[in-house]
Amino acid sequence: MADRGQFENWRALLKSALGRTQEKQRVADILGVSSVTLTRWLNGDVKPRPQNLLPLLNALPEHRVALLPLLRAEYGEALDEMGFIDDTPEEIPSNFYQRVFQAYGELQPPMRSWSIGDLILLQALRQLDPGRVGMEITVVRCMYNAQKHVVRSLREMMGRGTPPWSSELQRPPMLLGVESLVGYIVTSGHSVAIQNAEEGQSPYPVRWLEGERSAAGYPITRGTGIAGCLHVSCAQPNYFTSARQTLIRSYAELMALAFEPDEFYRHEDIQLYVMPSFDRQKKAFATFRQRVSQVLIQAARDHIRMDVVQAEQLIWQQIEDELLVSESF
Amino acid sequence: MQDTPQEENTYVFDAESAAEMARLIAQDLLVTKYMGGLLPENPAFIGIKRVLDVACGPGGWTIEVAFAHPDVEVVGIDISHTMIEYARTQAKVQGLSNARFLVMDATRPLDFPDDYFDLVNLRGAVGFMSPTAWPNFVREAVRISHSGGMIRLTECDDMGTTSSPAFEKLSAMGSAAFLRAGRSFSPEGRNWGLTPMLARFLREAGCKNIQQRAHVIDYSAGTEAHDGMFHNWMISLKFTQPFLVRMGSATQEELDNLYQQALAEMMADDFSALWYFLTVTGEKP
Repeated sequence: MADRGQFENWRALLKSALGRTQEKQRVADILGVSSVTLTRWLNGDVKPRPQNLLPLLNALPEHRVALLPLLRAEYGEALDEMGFIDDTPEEIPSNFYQRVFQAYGELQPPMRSWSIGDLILLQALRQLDPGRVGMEITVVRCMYNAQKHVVRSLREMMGRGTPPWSSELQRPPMLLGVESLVGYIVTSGHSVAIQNAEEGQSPYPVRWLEGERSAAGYPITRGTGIAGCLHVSCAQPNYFTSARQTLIRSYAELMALAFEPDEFYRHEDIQLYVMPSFDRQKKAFATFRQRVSQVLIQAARDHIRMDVVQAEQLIWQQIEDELLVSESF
Repeated sequence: MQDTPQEENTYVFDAESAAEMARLIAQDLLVTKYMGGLLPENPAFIGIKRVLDVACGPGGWTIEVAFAHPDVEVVGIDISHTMIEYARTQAKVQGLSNARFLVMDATRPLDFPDDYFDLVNLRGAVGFMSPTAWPNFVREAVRISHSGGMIRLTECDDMGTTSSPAFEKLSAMGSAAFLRAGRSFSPEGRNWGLTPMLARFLREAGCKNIQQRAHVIDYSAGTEAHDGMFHNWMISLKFTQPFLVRMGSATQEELDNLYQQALAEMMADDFSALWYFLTVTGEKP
């Protein structure tokens, strides 16, 4: 770890910390700039954009303590405010609504859900994280059990991110229950914003992802029905300003279009369980895709029209049943 | 090479479709990643100050270049008003003042001065660029490039090679339909036959220092790219159905059955698939 006193300014510290070409490239990749741009910052030829400073700090956690006062010496107290600096417009651009409605009209299920969901996620990501400080946005949906007429669990349906998260959701499939933050949002029907993962004990059930420093979520509703929620993780603490929370709400409202009318459930039908640990679920989901494939092939042989989403839903429900039955013994 | 009959009827995708736009945004992210970044031939954009992205679609590559290189002026052009409007909105919400977008048809003379750009980039034009339009486009790209500037063309020849019988059948139908539509360079329509032509186009337009670089996306079951590619094909196989019906390749019912079977086979644990691309670059003398 570097000692601040050793270095004249943040550039000198960074030059020392990024001595190896590989390390320079790694940091450049995280920041989304070329290594030449990074070199020009270090040489003082170009000043980094303010929105690059926080990702820079996050890219070098071991030097954060030494780097912060040196950056403050050049950028002033404004640096401390950076987490709160927010020129995010509170509204989604009107022509984007137009595109979403157009896609809605052009598509049939199940493509409609994926296509509209992804379109909205990418737009939300670009508007909420224009400086690429590190964000992941996921859509979580209710798992309705048609036999028991209740929602007992939730699952991540799709997601998009900027580094340190991957651009597409890559986590293995997993069911979430009342033990999760998204479980709280869906059960209560209320939005949540947790500003700092490191500040004391949260009143909410939350398991932080690696690199996650703040989180927010908003239920996806239509009338009194709930389909799931929009969940946003950020690598920066104190990121969810009032304007950004308003924007998340607007995107959650728009995301309702990615769900069919019968996918919104009454509050009294949402009875989430505590879901088994990830390790237990991992075993159960190991054959997920193969099972979906078999259901689709069998349906084709039987001349039954079944789409991928219907087949997936069937297997999700079977696995949920298997997990909850085994959990009860 | 065949004459192109009634081009407006042989377009594979609707350029103004918002759903197609959503698919392109996702595909663009995936392809850039598996091509090794924005410009693996010159990752630091050394010597590049002005970039033209032709057929930029929703502006994915253009915007990424503008974000990563604030000192580079990037222009994206596309025939689709829908895509250009979306790209402009994206640049605006991200505060990128070095990216601009214009509606322009790449199959016609380009509305830029001579010797202007340091890099002209075109990726995935097979859906709209006819065999007769290609040489004209490359000559235009050379005209608007600065001396020493790079023209960069990236294309593929088919939908990839997979272990799914239904997908392969659809892929073969697509290639044969391309030939019938006058959009293929392949003498027998086994594939699109485009990638072997790219270096020739550049050479004939006077380029030197022609380089070729192959890329591959492995989207077999269990790979990182599988989900993204699965969704990509879920949409594009559906969108190509009207084209295949129009070209007499199959009935709608036959296509629906193959579609369902292909998706099922792509979900199987033993599904194996590779999608190959070729980037060819040339330098204006």
